[in-house]
Amino acid sequence: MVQAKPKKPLPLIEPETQAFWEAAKRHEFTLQKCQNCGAYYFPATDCNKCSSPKMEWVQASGKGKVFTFITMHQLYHPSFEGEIPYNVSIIELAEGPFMMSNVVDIPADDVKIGMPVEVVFEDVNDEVAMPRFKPAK
Amino acid sequence: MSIKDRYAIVGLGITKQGRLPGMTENGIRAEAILKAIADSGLKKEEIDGYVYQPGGMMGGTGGDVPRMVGLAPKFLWSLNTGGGTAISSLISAIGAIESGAASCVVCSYASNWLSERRLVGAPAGGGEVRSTAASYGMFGPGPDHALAARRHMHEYGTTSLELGAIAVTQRDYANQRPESQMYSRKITLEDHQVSRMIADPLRFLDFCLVSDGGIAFIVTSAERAKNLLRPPVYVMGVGLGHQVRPGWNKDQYTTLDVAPSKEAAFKTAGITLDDIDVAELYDCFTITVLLETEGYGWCKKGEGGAFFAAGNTKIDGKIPMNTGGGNLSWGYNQGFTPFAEAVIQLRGDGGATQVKGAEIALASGHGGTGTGSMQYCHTTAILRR
Ligand SMILES: [Zn+2]
Repeated sequence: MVQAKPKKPLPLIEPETQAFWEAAKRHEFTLQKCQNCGAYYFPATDCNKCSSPKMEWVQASGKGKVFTFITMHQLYHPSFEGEIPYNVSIIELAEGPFMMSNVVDIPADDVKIGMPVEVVFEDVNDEVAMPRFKPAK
Repeated sequence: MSIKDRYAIVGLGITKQGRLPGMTENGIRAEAILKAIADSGLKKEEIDGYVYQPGGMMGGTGGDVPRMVGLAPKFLWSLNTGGGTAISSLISAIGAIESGAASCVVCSYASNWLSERRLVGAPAGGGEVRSTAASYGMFGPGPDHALAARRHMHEYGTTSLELGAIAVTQRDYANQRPESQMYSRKITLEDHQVSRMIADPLRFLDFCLVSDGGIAFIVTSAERAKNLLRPPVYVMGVGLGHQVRPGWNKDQYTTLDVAPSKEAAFKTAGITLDDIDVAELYDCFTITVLLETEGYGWCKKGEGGAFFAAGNTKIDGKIPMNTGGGNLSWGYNQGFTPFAEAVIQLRGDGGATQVKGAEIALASGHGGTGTGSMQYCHTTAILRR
């Protein structure tokens, strides 16, 4: 009996992050912006700087830098079989917030802290496109 | 009124560490608790409070144990702050006694993860996994701490070899303690350097053990602690911190939230870092020990790597640290491992790794409570004999 290849884990999409993932599906990279003071978040319920509740999802640059990263060698989930070693990074976005993602398009061992990166989207199914990052031109 | 010297640890129960085939988590916990009660000399009827770190990862074993061992506590508190739980349990126990609601509280941990062959951080088998971190291939605390190790290496030039010194120093301690899980398994720096990568830059020997084992301790008032079987170990001060901030902050990959925890504990204790004779720091990974050591100030920020490589934490070093071998080499009972070793040292029970004349010990905890990447709690207890 041939077993179906296990499916990749999917992001947990909740009311607070639904807008982000809907935009991602359209290959648009968005962040939450305080309409009062202009601070960006990923995401927040109200502004941590000025306490304003007026937060809106807006188009963001999709650019940033690698703040820190690992090269994963351990297979924690069978769906990653064949991809090891792979990169997981914390990206410091140009607008300020940090996010976890993957740096792709280059070998995992070539990733460096401070490397400028830009977003690319990977459609993983009809519902979800994952924002990942490649070295910026 | 300050809690200083008004509460004491009067019983300590430790099961065999390593592989305990055929034992359930409840069975292991029951054994630890019965040993702690016997060690204290208290009667079972006097145990009127029960605080337990639930077993089964985020599951829930442990609530049945009072019934199994014949206790009738007035409360059962399930408490989980990950590796911070031993000291969080101590603080809860002191609160329960201070309030007048209880007089003798048993706190416990138990696990059979080694026999269960758990890969810590891996999602439970079968079915669809929904987790944003996992969707990027990020699993569990090890890779998360590797993000911190990488950033620390970038900012301060810390090396894998220096992290290896932490692993080897602790293993040397464990090799002198017959009850430890790694008693007969020596390692060298070279072994560390060739151990397989898990999440680069952290290797297999940067990771703590997985163990079957349990630990229980009993907290009571200084008054009740008189005339029991073993000399009381008094609580001088406790502290808490948690790396939770609005949004992200750039320090969270190189600095744990030791500062507020340290400040509260030392303020209550009325002493300074130089008064600490032995340190038992939470050690899920080598990098954790380094970040805590910098946080407490045994060395300057960024100089942790050189500090460990120079042997400052060996038995005759500046600050003997993790003297039983810790979670890395003695046995993985999370925060209960360093806490128990602090009690062992202050009782003078450390055998070949006993710090001569140890009067004051610092134990710490560090753990995840469902917060984000590198947002862990920190706990401090300063104890004296
Ligand atoms: Zn604002």
